[in-house]
Amino acid sequence: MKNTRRRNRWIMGTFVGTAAIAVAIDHTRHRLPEPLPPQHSESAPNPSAVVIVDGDTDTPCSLETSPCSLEESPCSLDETTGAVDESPCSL
Amino acid sequence: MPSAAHMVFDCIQRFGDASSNPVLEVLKDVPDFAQGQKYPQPALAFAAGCWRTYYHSHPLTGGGAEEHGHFHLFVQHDDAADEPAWTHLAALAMDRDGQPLRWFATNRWVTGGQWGEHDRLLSAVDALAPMSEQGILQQWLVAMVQLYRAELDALLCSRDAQLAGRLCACPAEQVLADRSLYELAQSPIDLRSKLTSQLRGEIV
Repeated sequence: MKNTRRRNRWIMGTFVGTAAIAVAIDHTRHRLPEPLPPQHSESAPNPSAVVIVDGDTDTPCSLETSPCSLEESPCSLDETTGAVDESPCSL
Repeated sequence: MPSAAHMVFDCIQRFGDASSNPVLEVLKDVPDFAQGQKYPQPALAFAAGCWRTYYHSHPLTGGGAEEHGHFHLFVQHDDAADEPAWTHLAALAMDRDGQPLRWFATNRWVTGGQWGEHDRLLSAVDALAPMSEQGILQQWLVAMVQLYRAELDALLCSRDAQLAGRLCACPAEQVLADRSLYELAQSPIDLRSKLTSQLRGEIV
């Protein structure tokens, strides 16, 4: 009897937790804004290339204000540019 | 001290109360979310400034059409001398409804910085303390990293295994700069199942 009661309590706890989790997650489902296309982009010729935004002063993938911003040419992600040292997802 | 699962759940509840989610939290003051840009600028600091993250979206991912973008997570490299150097832990991809989709590890050329050794990265994960974070996004990120510690451990193992064969044939610098290698490993996320398994039997 005691074991049955304990098992029932455990099952109830699981049920409540699962339902609460599902509801909570559903409440955070909100359609995200579609990203606007880059103003200037270059499509690289192979799957390893990255679409590049050629901004005036910054690159899409390096933060100038970050400690690890890359000081090299801002559009060097594309192998066709000849520069391959840039990291597209650096800080 | 609440578990990582509890912290994630708590953050989710607060996101829900605000009709938000982690990505909307990042983009809430952004009038035009643009492909290729990083949000926020500068990157969001957390863990007493020892970690940084930003969110962005670009076509070069293995997540397919359901992936909206991803958070890149960086930890400060201990051996930094004058200027802080950063090491990439992993990226956390999000779907178009703002839900976590998968973790993935990239080659070094993708993020630059110092290459993160497996054990060192896990030590940094273990040092995180979700309760000390001020913002809900930072709390959620820290809790997610800790909740998925085992998966990140396996992810880094897979990453290293992916590189191991190539490192036998080529110098490390060449392999880590190889642009034919973008994603090295990934680990799918089913947050509902994860939280259910972690919080099973607890009153939440």
